[in-house]
Formats: sequence, C-alpha cells, structure tokens
Amino acid sequence: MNDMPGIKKIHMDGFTGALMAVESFDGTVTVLHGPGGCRNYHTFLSSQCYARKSPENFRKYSQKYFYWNSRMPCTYMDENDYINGADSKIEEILPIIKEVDGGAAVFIQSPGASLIGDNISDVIERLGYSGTALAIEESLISQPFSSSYDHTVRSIIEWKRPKRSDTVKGTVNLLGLPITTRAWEDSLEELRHMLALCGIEVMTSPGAGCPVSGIDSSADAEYNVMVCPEYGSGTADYYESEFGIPCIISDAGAPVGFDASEEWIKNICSVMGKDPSGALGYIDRHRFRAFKTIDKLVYNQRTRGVRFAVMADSSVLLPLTKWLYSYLSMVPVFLEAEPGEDTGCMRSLGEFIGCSGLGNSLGTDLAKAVPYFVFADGHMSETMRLMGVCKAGVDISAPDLSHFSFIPKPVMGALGAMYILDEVFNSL
Amino acid sequence: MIQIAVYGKGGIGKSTVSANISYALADIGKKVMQIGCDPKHDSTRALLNGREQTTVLNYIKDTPPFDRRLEKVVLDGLNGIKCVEAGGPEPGIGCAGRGILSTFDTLRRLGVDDMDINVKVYDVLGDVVCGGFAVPLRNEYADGVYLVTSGEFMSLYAANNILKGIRNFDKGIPRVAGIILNCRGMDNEQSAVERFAEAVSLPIVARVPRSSLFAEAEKKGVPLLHMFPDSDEAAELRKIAESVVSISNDPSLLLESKPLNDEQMGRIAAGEYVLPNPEGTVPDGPVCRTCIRKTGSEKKREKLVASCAAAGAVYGCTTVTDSVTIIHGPRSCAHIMSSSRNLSEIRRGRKRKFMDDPQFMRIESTDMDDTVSVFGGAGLLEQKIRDLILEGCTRFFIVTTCVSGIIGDNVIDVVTAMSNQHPGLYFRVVEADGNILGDWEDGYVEAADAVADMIDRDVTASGRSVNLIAERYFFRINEDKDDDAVALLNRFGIGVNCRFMYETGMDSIVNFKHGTLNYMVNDDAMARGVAKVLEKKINIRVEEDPLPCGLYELKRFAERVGEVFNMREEAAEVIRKEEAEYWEAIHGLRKRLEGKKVSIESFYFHSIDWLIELILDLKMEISFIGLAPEREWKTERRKRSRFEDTIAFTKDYWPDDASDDTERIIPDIILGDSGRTGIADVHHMSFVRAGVGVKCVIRFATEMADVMSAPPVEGWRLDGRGEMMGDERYAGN
Repeated sequence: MNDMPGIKKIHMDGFTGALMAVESFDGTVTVLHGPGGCRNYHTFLSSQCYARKSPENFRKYSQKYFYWNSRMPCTYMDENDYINGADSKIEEILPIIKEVDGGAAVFIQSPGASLIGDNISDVIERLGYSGTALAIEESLISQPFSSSYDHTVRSIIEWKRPKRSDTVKGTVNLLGLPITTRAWEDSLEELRHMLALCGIEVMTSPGAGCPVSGIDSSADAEYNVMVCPEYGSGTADYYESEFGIPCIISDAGAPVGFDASEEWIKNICSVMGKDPSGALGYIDRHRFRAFKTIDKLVYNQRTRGVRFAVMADSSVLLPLTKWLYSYLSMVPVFLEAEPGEDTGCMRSLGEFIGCSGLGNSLGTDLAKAVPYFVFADGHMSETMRLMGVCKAGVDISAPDLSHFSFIPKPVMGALGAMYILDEVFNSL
Repeated sequence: MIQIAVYGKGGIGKSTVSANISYALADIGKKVMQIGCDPKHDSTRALLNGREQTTVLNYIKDTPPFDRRLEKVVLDGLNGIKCVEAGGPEPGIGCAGRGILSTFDTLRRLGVDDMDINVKVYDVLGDVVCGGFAVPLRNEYADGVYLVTSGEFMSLYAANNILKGIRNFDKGIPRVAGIILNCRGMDNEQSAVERFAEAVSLPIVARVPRSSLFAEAEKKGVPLLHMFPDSDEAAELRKIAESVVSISNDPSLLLESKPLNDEQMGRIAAGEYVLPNPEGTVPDGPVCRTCIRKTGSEKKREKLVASCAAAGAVYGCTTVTDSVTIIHGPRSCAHIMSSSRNLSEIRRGRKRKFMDDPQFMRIESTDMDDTVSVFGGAGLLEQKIRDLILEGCTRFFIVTTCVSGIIGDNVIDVVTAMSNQHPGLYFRVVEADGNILGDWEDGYVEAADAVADMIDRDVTASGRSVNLIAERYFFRINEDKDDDAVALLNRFGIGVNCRFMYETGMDSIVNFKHGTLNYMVNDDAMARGVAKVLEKKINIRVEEDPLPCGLYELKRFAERVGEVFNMREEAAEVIRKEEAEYWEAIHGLRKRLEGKKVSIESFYFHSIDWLIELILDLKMEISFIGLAPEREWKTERRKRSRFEDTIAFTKDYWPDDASDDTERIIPDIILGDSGRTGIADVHHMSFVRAGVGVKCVIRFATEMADVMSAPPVEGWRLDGRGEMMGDERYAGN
C-alpha cells in the first residue's frame, strides 16, 4: 500500500500562460476577470519574473479592484457574479484602470469566469474603450502554458495592428522568449549582444519586455528570429502572413549550451547574409575560458557518466540534453518535455537518443532514475534536492519564487553555458 | 445579412421546418447557413442527404484550440446551404446551454462572420430558455424569431416561455416575426393556436398541415420542398421564406414580445379567449439549474472574497499524511495550490536542510478544460481515482473548484459509486466549489469538518496528553518554530496525542479522543472555527484559551494543566523557571527599549494581549493601537482585551488610515500585521502571534530591539525615490 503517488509536476497551464504573456509587455495592465483567489499567486509570480521598471507607489493603488497592489487588478468575482454575470464590474473597472494606471488593459478570464459568458469585448466597445482595452475571450484552462502564451502575445499584437512602413535591413524581432525563462532579461541582453556582434539589431522582443509602443515598429523588421518555437510560432505566423516577415528557426532548438548557441547564430547569419564570426568568436572566448577553468581542476573527469534529468520545454530539453552529453559526458536518465512540445525538437531528441544508444538508460520515474542533477524549474529542482531525489538541482525556469538573483545568470547564449557549468562544477 | 432563430419545444418539428425554410430561401437565390442548436444534432440531416456531421462541441472536444478549422464543422448541403451542428453533452451531464455558448464563441473565433452568407437560420431547442440556449435570442445573433408550435398546451407553454426569454433580451427592440403552426392533427388545434396568437398579438405566418409527405421526404434524407416542390405543404412552407424576405426588407414588421402569465396560459388551455395585453406580463426571468444548484451560504456578501475556499480546503486536506487530495478542476487551480504549498515547504525545508514527505506531492488534478464545462467532468474524476488506486493510493479527499461548482458536476455520485466498488478505501468530498463556499479560511474549516469524520467517537481520553488544533505554518522566518508547542508541553511532562491538521497520519486522527485536553495553537477566527466543528461533531470541549503566548497566558495554562492532570507542583516549578528566565531577558532588553514609543496596527489577529503585555513589561510607551473592523460575518468575534480598561484602542481602523496616523503620531516603531506601513520613514516590524511559551516573546523583543538599532530606511530604498511619482512625501528628495 502506498498513499503517496509518484513524483509528478503539476505544470502551469494556459490561464497562467495568458496572464504572464500580458505581463511580459511593458505598458500593459493585466486585468484578471475572476475571483481574488486566482490573483495572489499570479501577482507574486509576475513580480518575481518581471519587476516593473519604476518603484510602485502603493497609495496610488489603494483603489477598488487594485487593493494596494499594482499588478493584475481583479474583478473579484463571487457567487453572485457566477449567477448573474459581472458585466457591471467590467463597466466599473475600465475607467478606474484608465485613471490609476493608464496602461493598455488586457482582460484575461479565470477558469470560472470563462464559464459565465460575460461579454467583455462588448462592454469595452460599448463604453468606448476599444483603443485602450482588449479581452482575450478564449478559455485557455488546462491548455499548454507555452502555446497559450504565444496566442496571447499574438492577440495583443493583432489588436495593436502594427503598420509596415519600410523594411529596416539588418533588423529582427526576437520571438519566443517567455518571461518565465530563468533570468530572461539577461538572456535577452546576451542574445541581443550576440546578434549585434554580427551586425544584426533587435528591433523588438514581443513576449519579452516589449513596450506596447514598440509593437508598431515591429512590422518593419527584416526577419523574426525564434528562441523557443513553442512560445512564438503563432506570432511568427502572424508576422509572416500579414507583413511577409519570415521567421528564422534553428533546428538545434533554443540557444542553450555552446553548441546550440553557435548553431542558432550561424543559422540566422546564413539566412540574413551576415558574417557570424563576431558572435562565434565571442562564444569561442567563453569556450576557452571554460576549458581553462575545467582543465585546471584536479578532478576534471568527474562529470563523466554523471546522471542527469531534465524537465523543460522541448526546445530547451533538446540542446541542453545534447550538450551535457557531448560536452561533459554526462548521461541523461530522465527527460520530460513540458506540455505543448515542438514536434521538430522532440523528433530530433528521439533521433539523438536512438543514435547515442541512450534509450535503455532513460527511465519514466524520476525518483527511480536516481539522477545526480535535476535541471528543471526553480521549485522542482530545489524540491528534488531537498527530498534527496538528486544531489543538486539547477533551475532554468519559473516558478522559482523562493530564490532571488542579483548577478546576471542567463540560461541562453555563451553566458548561459557558463551559468550551467558554474552550477554543475560547484555541485559535484 | 439577416439572422433568424426558429424556436420551439423539443419534438415539435422545428428542425423539419428550419430545413425547409433554408431550402426555400436558397431556392430563391439566398446564401443560407443553418445552425442546429439542439443537443440531438439532427437539424441539418435533411439538408445533407441524411448524413450526420461532426458537431462543433465534439470537434472542440477532440481538437486543441490552435488546430481548429472552420471547414471541419461547416459542411455544404443541398442548394449550397452551409450546415453546422452545435451538438451537446449526454442527457443529464454537463450543461448543454454552456455548449451553445461555446459553439457560438468557437464559430466566431474561427471566422464564420467572414463567410459570404445572406441568411443564417438558427434551429434552437426552446424547452429551456436560459443560459446558453438564450444566446440566439441576443441582439447580435437573431434579428427575427419564429415560434414553432402545435395546438398542444405544452407546446404553447414553451412558446410563451420563449417570448419571456425574448422579452429579457430584446432591450426594447421588436424582434418577433410570428408563429408557425405545425399541426399535429388534434381537435381544435387551429383554434387553440389562434387564441394564443391573438393574446400575444402575433401573426400566424404559416399553417403547416400534418402530412405523410414529411415522413416520405425524411426517409429519403431530404426536405419536403426538395421532393415535393409542388405540394400544398411546400406552398405553406414557402410563406415562411417569404416572411423572412419581408422582415429582411422591412424590419418594422417585427413585433414586440408580449408573453402571458400563468393564469392567462391556464385560460388558453381551458379554451377561453384572453384579451391582448398591450404591455405583456412581466416575465419571471430565466432560471438555470446549475445556478440554483448551490447558494454559498447565509454570509453577508458585501465582503470582498480575496481568497479561495478550495485553496484552504486543499491546504487542510493535504495535512493528512497518508492521503491524496484530488482537485476537481482545471490545472490552473492545481498548479497554484501545489506551487504555493511547495514554496512554503522549500523555505521551511531549507532551514531544516531536508524535506520529508512534502505535502504538495499529495495534490492531484483532474485537469478540467473548456470541453468538460459542456460534457461534464465526472468521467475525468472517475478516471483519476482509478489511476491513483492502481498506483496504490487508498485514501482520497476530493476538493471541488468553482468550475465544477458552476457546471454542476455531481461529484458526490461519482465518489459514492467508486466507494461502493472499493469498500476498503476511504473517500471524502469537500464541496468548496472554489470561492463559492467562501474564502481560504472557510475552506480550511470545511476541510477540518471532513477530516473530523475520521475520528473514532468511541475512543475515550486517557493519560497525560493533549490534542493540538489548527496548527498552520506558512513562511516562518528565522529558526523553524514548528516544534515550540511540543517542546513546551514536554517541559510540563505532557505528551501530544494528535496534531489535528498538521502533518498527521490517519491513525492519529482516528484516535483523536485519546487526548485529555484540546488546545488551539493559534488564536484567530479560523482556529475557533475548527474548534467549533470538533466540539459539535465529536462532542469534545476545546479550551477557551489557546496554547499560551507570553507569561500571563503561560501561568493560566500551568494552572489548568496542573489541575486537570493533578500536577500542580510540577507545573508551578516549570513556571518558576520560565518566569525567572523571562524577567532576566526583559531586564536586559529594557536597556535598549525602555521609553520607546510603539504604535500597533492589527488587522488580522483575534487577540494581541501577549504583545501589549510584552510592550508594558519592557516599559515601552504605547502611543496608538488600531484594530481593523471585525469581520462580522464570521461566527467569531474578537476577544475583549484584558487591557481595554487601561489602554485606548482605536477600533474600525483600516489600512487606508495607517500612513496618515503614523505621520500624526510619529512613534519610534510601528508593529503591524498587514505589512502596509513600511513606506513611512520610521522603524517598522511585522508581527504574527509570536509562538508558544515565553521564549518566543523574548525572541520577538530581541528582534524588535535589533530593528530599532538599525537605520529605519534601508539605503537601497533611496535609489528609487526619484521615480516615485505622486507621493508627495518624497517630493524634492
């Protein structure tokens, strides 16, 4: 008899994905149409993932629906609203948001609210707020976090209707970098830097700190470049169909680890006709620095055969697994993709596992796999360490509500590879 | 484009009529779309040569939102008519009305409005005019409404109900096109419908005779108009199409809805004439079975419900170590609850350097999505339970969320059936229904009620042991204090029988009544709520005082246990030691704190006497005490303070007032339990009930002295002040 089910992760779903996607824009106000119980966790999560640029004046937010918290004003639906609808609250909150915050209000419905059938769009239109407020009406509950994030980013861009004037040569929009990536702002800076070394300028990054005012210029970019396809393919389709902006996607997945980072930049430069040597040299310098550091270690063979597990989005799962295997000779024993996986990445991962003969070493139960390292979201990686399931946990994404990082520690690019090496060698 | 809705009682022949209207309109060159809004999804069959088509609801059930395509649910029928079927759940499961809502939303999102269509015909079941079934009555969907009825009273009754529904939605815009009499061949049928039509001031647009030609056409899977275009029946059906064209050209032909009341309908049934009522009767309004299923409580609802009863219930249930808690709802809810739980465990685990048997691992989710709101979630719940049984789980709590509450899932029936199949397993449902039951605290108390069901009533108290009630620890700072209570009891030589709702196994709960005394660990409304549940449910007495915090309460506790356990001397000895230790520490701390002014703001706690006692013992000066308004809808009221005769309390104090009062009083330190006054340039410290015994209050006082030794505002705060627009206190800085 066993009253504890096996170790399972309850993933973030599309509702959280939609909320985080709105929060990812600079200049939006996420309006949660739902009960207050849905608000607290998400305000905490969004504040942790993306601190606002300016300090917050709590008195300003002592208004109804904000209740001293600037993030995610909420209609606080209750039983009465479930029966009779809550249109009146939507009517009431619209002018309050305009007065208190002034940002573009994007309504996301809670799971319960999505059942009631409040026509938020109708209220917005009727009260004349169509230019400053949008409702994402789809019910995204229990849908994948990633595709819902993408869908919401796309909806906001469609709403803002960017207009294409002239294509600015050598510019790109960076797509598919969610704010739930560990230290995403540092990853954004790192990728921006790598692209700049090749003469490519990042115009905007929808879904990753893009100002609402910056959406307009996004249609002038020459290309879109993809970081994680799960989080950006729908948005890329929109840019391609509306403005003919093609999207460059790396077969190697996201730029995680030295190898995939090189592939990522080479692929972009190849399509855009740019010289990748600047970024490759930058990665090389980090490679050599890593070599020197590892080489001088007395026990520099310690990573050989070390067992690891990864629980991540497929576009991170693929490059991270391949790199830990090839660069550090570590052995994957448990791999799990987040829901909404990219089929291309999963196919490549399957081929890699088959070609490497790793099929037999992979398990389906994390605890029984006995990994030394677990690469996962902050909560999972730390919990597995505290439970003794693994010796060390390496956090690569949200939620990570118990940890704060002051030193830039991105997951992507050359610096991302250094972060992972830091975590691995300091935990052996 | 014009949109018409054909409403009628189930089985009255509205689908046959609708198909023929569509066919007739297409015959005269209109581009027509027919949308069947009846769960039995046979509206368009006659237009598709008897073929069935994939319903929108089945399609969205099997297809993720981002892969859905309009052409998968819109088929080409006879005369180029575009055919759509909404579909619906099995009878008695889920909410078919909600299904209609989902269908319309889905079609809109997939771009149905961009299709080249002149006329949309909605064929709608009209027995129930509420929720989703009323959607086609809304302005944006139906320009004109036709009522199909026979002379049978129930059919006329349904038609009248539809008029009531229209009246609720028409917002003063006339939208009724008329009545279609579909004869069933009964005596005086025409007369009955004519009397009804006259009473509600509507024309009879067509009188379709009872005819075997309909059956013949149905056998062939085509409309009558297609098979017998020259028949009398066809001519009558074409009149309806002509009416549609007329109202399309001249909307002023549409009429207001003037439904009858029950008494008037009774007279129609009795064969009497009813005079037309110029205004129509006031309708009763729509009623939905899921909406009336459960009303939350008798609580006053003016209060903001800022948290979720389901979350409180899950927290409570997961404290039972050898059980699994299934959240019957969307994955969002399960993620929020497990992640929050996990966070507090990580924080506590880091202090302990390990984590044993984490509670968040005991949470499972049925992952309801938007399709279960139509098809019901009972199957998901049943499957989840079966899977967990296969994994070896034997004890289950099932907590309902607002989604399962709103759609009216009958969780109890599912669990009863499972329980009958597995009599050796333990099942208990907690119907929190998200925030419908109330807030976090209500859910926690409801969970206590569920857990208390396990207690064996026949066990009797024995030995020197106590039960601890309503222990809760979230984000404890500094050292881990969980074992303070146990340590204090050990000093008195008293054992702990059951830590009710704190990392407790089933056996301990079953034998709860072995404990001789019952103590609340915290002193708040929630702890008292749990105490009341236990007192009522298992007939015990819970001590009025909670476990002691501070010297005064410790002395009272010592007297009580000394008396009950006949150990007065031992208890007195413990008190002598604790008191000596306390005063020695207090004297030391006075050097740092004596004479300092303290302001206290309490929004959450039932009693702060321990804090006032400590402040007075330290010879600090109390400048202000503000207490938030009592939450009168709670069953518990704030306990009268033993200091109220000597110290002034400001009652009904709100967080809004805090900053203003702080500026007015200018204390040396503010002690607050809301964390909202930290913006002022004074020392500030958050408090909760310090713990159990006197060591905890000494720790608190030491921390207070340390805070007052440090700068009141950290240097980093100054870096952001220039940005704090709108706060006049920082202007110019």
